[in-house]
Amino acid sequence: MGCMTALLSLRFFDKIHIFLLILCVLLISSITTIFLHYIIINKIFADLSYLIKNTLMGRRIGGPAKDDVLMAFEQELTLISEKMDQLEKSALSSHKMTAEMQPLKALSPKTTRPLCAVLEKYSVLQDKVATALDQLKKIIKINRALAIAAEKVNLSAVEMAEDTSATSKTASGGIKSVGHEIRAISELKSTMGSSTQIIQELNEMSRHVSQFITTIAAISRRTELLSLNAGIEAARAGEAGKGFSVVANEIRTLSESSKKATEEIGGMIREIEIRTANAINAMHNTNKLEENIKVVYAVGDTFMHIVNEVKAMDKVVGRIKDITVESSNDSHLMNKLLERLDNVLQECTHMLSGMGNEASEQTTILNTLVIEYENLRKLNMQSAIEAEQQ
Amino acid sequence: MDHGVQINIDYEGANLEIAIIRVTGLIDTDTSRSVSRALEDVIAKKQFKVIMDLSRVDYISSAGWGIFIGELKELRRQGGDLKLACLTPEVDDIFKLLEFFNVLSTFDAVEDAVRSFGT
Repeated sequence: MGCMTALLSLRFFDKIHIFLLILCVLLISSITTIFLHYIIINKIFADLSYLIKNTLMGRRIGGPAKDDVLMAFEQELTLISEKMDQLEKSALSSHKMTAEMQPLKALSPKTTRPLCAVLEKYSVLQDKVATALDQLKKIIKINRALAIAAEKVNLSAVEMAEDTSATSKTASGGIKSVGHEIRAISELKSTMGSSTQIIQELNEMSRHVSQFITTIAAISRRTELLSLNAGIEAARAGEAGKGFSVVANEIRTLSESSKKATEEIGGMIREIEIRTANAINAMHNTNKLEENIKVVYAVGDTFMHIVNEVKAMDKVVGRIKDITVESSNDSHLMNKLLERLDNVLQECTHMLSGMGNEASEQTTILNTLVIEYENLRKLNMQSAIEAEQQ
Repeated sequence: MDHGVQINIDYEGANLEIAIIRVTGLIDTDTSRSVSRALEDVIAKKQFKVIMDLSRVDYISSAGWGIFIGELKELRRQGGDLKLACLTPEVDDIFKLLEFFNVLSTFDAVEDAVRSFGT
């Protein structure tokens, strides 16, 4: 049972080897037997020849010696007969052996041919593995270069992310200032609009005051005329009109004072009107301010676009950074995997090399066995022919 | 309706004293004049409580922001206010960057802005 298990566990080539060895041993033993029989027969024939010679020269031998010789002759004949039988059996056995060896002869090329084919395929496979190994080494080199490039890109992306982040912060700071500017200039615009309205109202009020002053001046002039007329009438009245003349003079003095005051106020009102008119003109002449406001708004819009663009760029750069980090990690991982694959392929190469050597040895052994078998077969055939001839 | 902007005005509140200006489109240098006119019309009608519904506004230029800031003083002087509602993320980003939250109030919904007037 143990032998069977051991036999089953043997490789194909080893089994063939053992089978062929057993056949060789059988052949050699058979041929040795035939050879021994051949020697014995030769000896018997020599003895027979001697006996016949002695018989033919019987006159020299006489009495009991003659009987002994005849007895010996009979014994020899019996022995020859037995040996002839054995020889016949051996010849038959040899023929049988030759017949049995025919399938082996047919099997030999069948065994060697696939083995040679396998050997050739091993060789091709070995070449392909070597090519793959070579290409893999190139890929590893390229991948290492890519990993280095990815790391550089990653560093650049990090620097770019830092730059864009700083730019974003600067732009954000700038846009805050723009916000303050927009607020200030909008409030200024609003305030200027209100001031214009107030000054226009003030101008209107000055006109009203001016009208009042004109009225007061007219009243004053009429009062003065009245006081003059009163003075004349008081003079006509003589002594009785003296008191009235004093009142008339006072009224005239008051009207003159009033006239002077109205003239002064009128002058002041005209001055106010001129100044307010100038102010209104100045307020209305706001083209420059509007232009400045437009410039501030345009700057603000530009800043807003810049901030939006920078923010978008910041996001893109962030994504690029993430991608490059992933790419760098993938590249390192791929490098490790490629190195492992390289090791596996190298192991395969070694294994293939070993298997090729073993197959080559097996083929050599098998070829030697076939040659030996062929020699034995020929020897056996020759022995059989010789045995038949005997 | 100006090219690129559409404006509708609704009134809310117990006495319809709150004007809701709903703007659709972009408020840039050109279209901001329409928004300004709408605000001036509302103020002319003695409506000093104003809400700008910006849910359909994708962009407000400096001129647009200037209009809001410019009218704010007059509205507050008259006892009213200008409040912004439903800012889109893009507009809200710029609003925050310009730091207008120091002067203008914003609300997630028009109803919240209406309630903030105490009606």
